Amino acid sequence: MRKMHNLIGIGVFLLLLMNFVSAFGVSSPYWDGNPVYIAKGETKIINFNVQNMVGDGDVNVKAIVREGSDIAVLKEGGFIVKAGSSDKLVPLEIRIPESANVGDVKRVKVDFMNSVPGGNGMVSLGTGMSVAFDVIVTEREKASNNLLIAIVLIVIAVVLIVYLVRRMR
Amino acid sequence: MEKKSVFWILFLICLVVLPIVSAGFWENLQKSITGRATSQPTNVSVSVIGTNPVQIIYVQPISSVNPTEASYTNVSFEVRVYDPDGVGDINVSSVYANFSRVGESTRFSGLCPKISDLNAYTSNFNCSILMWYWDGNGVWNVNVMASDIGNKSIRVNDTTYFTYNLLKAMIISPNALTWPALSTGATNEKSNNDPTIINNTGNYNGSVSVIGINLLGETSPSYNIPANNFSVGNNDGVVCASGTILVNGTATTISGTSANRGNLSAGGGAGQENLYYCIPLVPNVPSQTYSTLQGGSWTILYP
Repeated sequence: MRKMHNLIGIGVFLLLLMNFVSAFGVSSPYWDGNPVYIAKGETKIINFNVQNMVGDGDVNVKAIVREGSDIAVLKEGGFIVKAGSSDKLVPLEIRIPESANVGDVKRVKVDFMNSVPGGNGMVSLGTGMSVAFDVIVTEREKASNNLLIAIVLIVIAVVLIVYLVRRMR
Repeated sequence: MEKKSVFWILFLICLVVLPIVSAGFWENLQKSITGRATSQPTNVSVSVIGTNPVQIIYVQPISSVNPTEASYTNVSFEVRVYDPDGVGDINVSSVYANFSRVGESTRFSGLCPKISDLNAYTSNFNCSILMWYWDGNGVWNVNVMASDIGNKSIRVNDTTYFTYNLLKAMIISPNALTWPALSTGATNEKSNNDPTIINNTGNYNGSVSVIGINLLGETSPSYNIPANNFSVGNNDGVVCASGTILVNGTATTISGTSANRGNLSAGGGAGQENLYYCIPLVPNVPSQTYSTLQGGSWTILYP
């Protein structure tokens, strides 16, 4: 029953908002105060979730990396967000070079803009969202060292087995 | 020898009298004398219930959750309840959950329905909680409660956390500004169709910026009204005198503004901000129409 009331409320609310225009939203897993940790030499893909749940039409959005373009690249610079959708993912690839120092903090900022055509005799207004967060460089995980140790141990074991078999003969 | 006889006699008396007494001899005697019934039939049912409390042994990890613009996100997760006295002792109407975070409204589930029994001692439940678009981004705590039939004590598992992501989203109206016909040198000319109403359809809770662009002449684009001739503010009464001056092509934070994260349906300004516009002094430019037609639109920005 409570859910039904919620749904009715949202329905009425969305109808009211339909009179508004130029709408979209960007959800991000990282923000100021919630940084992403990436090891040096590694690459991570971050997906921004772009939504258009309220507007009455599709929205044309442009995305630009404003800060941190030396490590961050957008896979899509421009895209259309369908009306009523909340599942558009825009991937941002962040690559940390081997030469980076552990503890380095790099800032990434991405602007998402919905520019509208400028009409005659008026000042047109579009909307935009900036998403910014820190990237903190960490030490590469020791997985490769563990692998090396495992290989060495296996080789030693094989040598020992071969040696013992020969001795037994 | 005499003592032995006495002992055997007493023993025989006991052997004869005890069955009579234990068979309700006195009751029968009382009944026959007073007429009062000494007993009546009573239905008695006995169910064996466990004394051990339940344990919430598993709460499914919840990966980070994206808010949904102007709506809610249904967060579902699995809960396993263990009772050493068997699944029959788990109170299936006792499993509830909530999400909590300091400074935020706690979000409650309804009754978490039982899905199945995993084994003789563990049952599987499914909890669903609605997270709203204005709920704050950050780490939320998952609290699950359950009890059993025998022990009745409520057990809580609050060891699980999840991240609710940031959603910057807005919808504005109107999407264009107009001014009445202006004369060069005129002062404090306000837009005649403001304010721009900004509805915050996400959970961002910071200031509002505007990227202004020089207005180019529609007839002679070589002439323009620079963006720094415009002031913007959230107070109509003082926008001309103390509004924030725009900078061409640059995101300028409008002083005193806030996205006012909140429930838009609640009214009273929750989730809303208004922007007003003024030209404090109309510059000395040739007479023609100036607009964003050629230079590009302005942008209302959540920085």
